[in-house]
Amino acid sequence: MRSELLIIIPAYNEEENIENVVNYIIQKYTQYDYIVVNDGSKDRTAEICKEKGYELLNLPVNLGLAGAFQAGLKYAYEKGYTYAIQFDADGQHRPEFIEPMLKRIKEGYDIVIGSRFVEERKKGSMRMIGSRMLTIAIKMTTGIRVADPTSGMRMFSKSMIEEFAQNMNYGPEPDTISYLLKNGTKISEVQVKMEERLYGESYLNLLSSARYMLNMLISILFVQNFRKRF
Amino acid sequence: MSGLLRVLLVIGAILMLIFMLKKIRMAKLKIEYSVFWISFASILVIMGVFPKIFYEISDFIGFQSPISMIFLVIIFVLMVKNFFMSIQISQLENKIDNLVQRIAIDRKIDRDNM
Repeated sequence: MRSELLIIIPAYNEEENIENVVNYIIQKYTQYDYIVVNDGSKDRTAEICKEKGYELLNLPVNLGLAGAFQAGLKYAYEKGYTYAIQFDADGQHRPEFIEPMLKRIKEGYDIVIGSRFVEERKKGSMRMIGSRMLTIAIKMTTGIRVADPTSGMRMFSKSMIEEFAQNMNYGPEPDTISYLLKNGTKISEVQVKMEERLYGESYLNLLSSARYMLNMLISILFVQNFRKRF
Repeated sequence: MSGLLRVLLVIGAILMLIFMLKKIRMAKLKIEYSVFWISFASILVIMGVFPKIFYEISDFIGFQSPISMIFLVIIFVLMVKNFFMSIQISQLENKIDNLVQRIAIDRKIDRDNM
């Protein structure tokens, strides 16, 4: 361990993107540690990481994003990292925004979200309607406005790393954000830019998006009110 | 209860019993999990063979027909069973998550220490 920050890169079937993403970090951002979490990919993601000698957590079966990211956080926890950031393997996230996020979290926040909409407005697309609904749901239940609840670029403090690593129902999703806000966790947003994914299809099609929205809304508006914090 | 329904109940219950016992024989099912289904099937057989008992109970509670009581009870029992299975599945998934993460982390740490 050289750095205080661990970049956690969950990867499922990302053989086309993983090299670009990791090489860029290795070459330009040597001040940060990173770990690729291969989530039981069926393609050559794991082989590529091994050939190139990347830092790799290789999950033997597919757990889904929540399980893969949690594996990364457990690793961060055991290695004693102070901060961890969730970073997409598909090239959407840009590492130049890690520094401003790190600066912000050091001001005393628990979670910092790399947000697309702090300064910029949301477009009217289907996906943004979903994002708006989640923002409203979180505002209704916590009183706090989170401009970009679905952003996958989130940085966590040491206490959050421990809490996420050790508990069930801490998926890196808007409902967990809503639950933590309600419990007094301090969350801030930093304006970032995101790219379109480099290669391959996103896993979000219309049906799964609808199911995701239903899950999140029921979870945020109803279920999270009954959770006990351990 | 009509004769046909009674016959169907008994046949259904016996088929269920045979299926469960076969699964245990083939080592596909743990005995502790078969207990629920064997009890359930036994009750169905009793219903088919001695429907009088259930007529009395349904009269006592005040159901319009014994059939509605039987349906209600069966649906209720299966719903409760299903509910507890959801809990079991959640716990199992949680255990698998923990195991898989443990394996990956231990391997990584072993590799680093070599």
